This record gives sequence, structure tokens and C-alpha cells, in this order.
Amino acid sequence: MITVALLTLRALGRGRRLLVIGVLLAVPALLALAYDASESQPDGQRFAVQLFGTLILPVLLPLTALTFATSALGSEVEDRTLLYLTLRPISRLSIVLGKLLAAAAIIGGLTGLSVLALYLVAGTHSAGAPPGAHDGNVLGPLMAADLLGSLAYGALFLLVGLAAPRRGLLGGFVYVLVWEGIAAGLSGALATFSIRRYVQGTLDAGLGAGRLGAIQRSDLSGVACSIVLAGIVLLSIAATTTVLRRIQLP
Amino acid sequence: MGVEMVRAQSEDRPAAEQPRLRPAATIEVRGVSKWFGEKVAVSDLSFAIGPGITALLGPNGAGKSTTLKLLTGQIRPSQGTLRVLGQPVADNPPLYRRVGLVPEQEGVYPFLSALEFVELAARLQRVPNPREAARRALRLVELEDVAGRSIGGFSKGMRQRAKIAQALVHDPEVLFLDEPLTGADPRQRLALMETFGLLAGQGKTLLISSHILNEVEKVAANVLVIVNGKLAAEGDFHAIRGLMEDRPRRVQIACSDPRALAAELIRLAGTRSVAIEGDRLMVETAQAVELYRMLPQAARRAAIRLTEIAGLDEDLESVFRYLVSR
Repeated sequence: MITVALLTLRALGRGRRLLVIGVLLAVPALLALAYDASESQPDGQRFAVQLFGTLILPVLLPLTALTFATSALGSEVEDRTLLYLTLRPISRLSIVLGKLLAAAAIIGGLTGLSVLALYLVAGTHSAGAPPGAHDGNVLGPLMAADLLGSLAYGALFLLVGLAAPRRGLLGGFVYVLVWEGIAAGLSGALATFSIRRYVQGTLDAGLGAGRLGAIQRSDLSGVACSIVLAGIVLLSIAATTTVLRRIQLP
Repeated sequence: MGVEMVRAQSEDRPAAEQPRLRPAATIEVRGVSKWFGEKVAVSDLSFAIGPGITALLGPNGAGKSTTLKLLTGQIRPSQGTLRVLGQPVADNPPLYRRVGLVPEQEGVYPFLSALEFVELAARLQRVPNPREAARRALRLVELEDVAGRSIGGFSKGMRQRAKIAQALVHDPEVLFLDEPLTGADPRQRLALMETFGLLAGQGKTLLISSHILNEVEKVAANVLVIVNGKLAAEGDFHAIRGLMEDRPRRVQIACSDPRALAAELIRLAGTRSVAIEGDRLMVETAQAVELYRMLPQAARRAAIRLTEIAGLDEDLESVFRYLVSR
């Protein structure tokens, strides 16, 4: 599993996609800079939590996951190198776990850097916070939510990349923008079928019952959201393993 | 194009040259067909081969690569069964410890060096001391000097040899090689064929798909010929050749009086044509055995001295061309 993960990290960590995604992930910090400069009394922690919920979680995180996770197995099929993994005495589950580990590491690493930059630029400036507000540590819940989101989106898009290596990226892009980005934000019923809702739920639980935790008004407990996310990850791993066992290489 | 199956075992070759009788088949294919949509890639293939080198021959699109993909579990048969080392092939990771594959396709990890590529295979195969094993395999295919170079910058031949090294690194019992000599220069081909011969001598089973027939012919006593997805011939190459009695063969004869000998040979049963080319005769016959039997008598009758007799199409290429044209 580790060998597969290291190979995948090397494969994913090269090329222009890293640069493009890196530029996209710099946007939150740039927006935070603009916010910090434009506000005389910035409430930076609130801004960071809001920006995470409106830009990173619904758009940047799934886009990053889509870019890297669909490639993790999809490019092995497209480049006709998958047989160098499958014709080995290792279980298909090991291959999938290695791929997911690498994809989640690179997704979580990149988006985690974006969250960290956002926090360092905005989250540490809370002159505009209400008097007496004790928000505690915001960075921890943000990073934890980001990591969970990286795993869940990574697992889902790993499956998409293997099942539809050619159309997966386009289909995933439509899903990210239309469903996770727009539809899930419109109504609670639609959000039930989005990963975004459950990641947000874990963030809200992590932030607690204070003013920041109430920004997105999550109606699910952190435990329930974590269970759903774990279910998504496990189901995706099981489905990807099944597809890998049945795949017929052209 | 109809194809009549030819199955042959040599009877007129010395025992040492006979394909060994295999105690147990290492590769067994029974009634295997594979179709993609309406296209039939291979149809009702059945054969069993054991240790040694077997050449898998056929024109482009005949089904050779499909057969190798079936045998390595990359695709599954639409019907029939395949067993390698007595085990089912598809989705059987424990079996893959004992099997090696050199795929036809060029796909490699271009960002890895040759050493990393082969070492990756060794690690996944759980070979002890994978780096040293990778170096040994690269030495075998004469890539040791460029082991640190990226495969992405390799020539086709070098890439091919790197693929051979990754297939050999775990010392498999069964080796499938799809066009392994592609891109190799004549000296490298010779060296690779010697390597394959050594492996066969160690009791390993090698199934080599190749279009470089004259090279394969030197090491593979056993052949499988696939035409239009069907097994057209199986067995010892020379015996197959001999069994195809109705096949016209060309024989070149050098003698003291070609014109007189031509007059004698044209009367023989089976002779289709006789052409005089300088001091030589080019005879096309449907009954080569009869020609070889009667030739000395005919020469003696006409008081002609024979200086050279050579069959021009005894090679695999000719056998293959004939099978394809049927």
C-alpha cells in the first residue's frame, strides 16, 4: 500500500495541474488580504469560517479532489500502466487504499495550506469581534473539516476516475459546480445528498455552540455527520475495489 | 478465410530436438472465446503448453495480444476456461507472484528511472532486497549503465528492455512476452533470445508473441499460430510444416544442366512450375516429399550433377504466410 501511495504521490505531484490548483487555492488568502485591508475593525475569524463555508468547501476542495483523485487511478487506465499494479501479488484493496492515501494527502495538503494561509492572514485579526467573544481555536476545526472533506471527496472521485477515466473529470466538474456548489446551497433537502453538508456539520460541531458555530446553521450533530462521511468513504472504497477487480484493460 | 487446425508433433527430428513431453501443462486454455460487442477477437481456443519456449504467431489483429491479455487476467473470456500453473487467472493476486508479463503497449511511468521502475516491480512482488534484484534484472537486459536515467527519455528498444527487466525481477515460473524484441537491435535481440533460452533451460514456461519469426524460430521449437482469432496450428514447427502436404513449396536446385533437369522434373507428380534462373532451377511443388525422393533418380537418368538443393520456404514466415492465405 505504501509503495503504491508513494508512486501515486510522485505521479500526482508533477505537471501543470499542481500549478493551476495552487493558484486557485491562493484565492482565499488573497480575499482575506483584501478584507483585512478594507475593514477598519475586521472580524477575521468570522470571515475565515464564512469563506471556508462558501468558497473552499463547496468549490475549491471538491475541485482539488476532482483534479487529483480522478487522476490517481484514471490516468493509470488511460496511460495503460495499471497492469503494473494489478498483475502483482497484492490485493485490489491495497491498491485502492494506497491510491486514496496519496490522493487524500495531496488534496488535504494543498487545501490545508490554503486554509492555513487564510487563517494566518484573516483569522488572527479579530479586532472587530464582539466584545467578550471567546471563539477559541478556529484553525483546528477548519483543518479537521478540510481533512474529512479531502478523504470523502477523494474516495468518491477515485471511484469516478476508475469507472469513467475519460468522462469522469467532466462529469465530476459538473457535479462539483452544479450540485456541491449551487444546488446543495439552495435547500436542505438537496444538501442531504451532498458531501458538503456533512463536512460543514463537522466544522460546526468543532466550532461549538458559539457565534461562529451558528454561521451555517447545521441541523446535524458532529457525530452523525462524521458517520455519514465515514460511510461515504467506506462505500467508495468498496465500490472502487469491486470495479478494480472486474475491470478489463483495453 | 477458413482455417483448418493443424496439430503436429515432429517424428523425423532427433530426440534431442523434439519438444519435450511435458509432465504437466503450465498453461491450459479450453474452449476460450472472447468477443467485444459483435467483434469476435478469439474463438474457441484450446491448447496446453508446458515448460520451454512457445511462440505465439499470427498477423496483426489475429488475436495474439488478446490471448496474452486473457492469459494474464487483464481481460476475461466470454466463454471457456484458462488456467496458469493450475490456477484460474483472473483476479488471482497470489498467482501473479509466479507470473511475469512484458506487455506490448508502451505505457510506462515516464517520471521513474529504469532502476526505480524495476525496483517498483520488485517491491510489489515482495522480492527481498528489491534494489539489488532490480540491478540484477537491468544487468540481464544490458540497461545497467542507464539505470538512473528516466524511462521517459528512453528509446523504444530501451523501454522494451526495461519492461522485460520488470517482468523478470521476481524470477517468475511463467513469462508472457508480447512482442518483446520490438525496437531491439540485432545484437540485443540475439542477447535477449539467449536469455529466454536460458530461462527455458531452467524449466520456466515462456510464451512469446512475436512477428520477428526468424528470431523466434531459433529458440521456440513449439508454435501456436492464430489466424482470425482461431488456432490455426499448434505443435512442432517442422512437423506442422511437413503435415501441410497440399501446400506448395519452392525448392531451389543448382546443377550442371538446369534445362535438362527441368524437363525431368516437370513430369513429376505435384510439380506446379519449373523456372530456370541462370544455373539454378526454381521448382514449385505441391508434393515436396515426392520431389526430394525422385530428384536423385531424375538427375541420374539425365546424367546431371546436383550441387545444391535448398528449400526456400521452410522458415516460420513461410508457414505463417501460407496459413494466413488459406
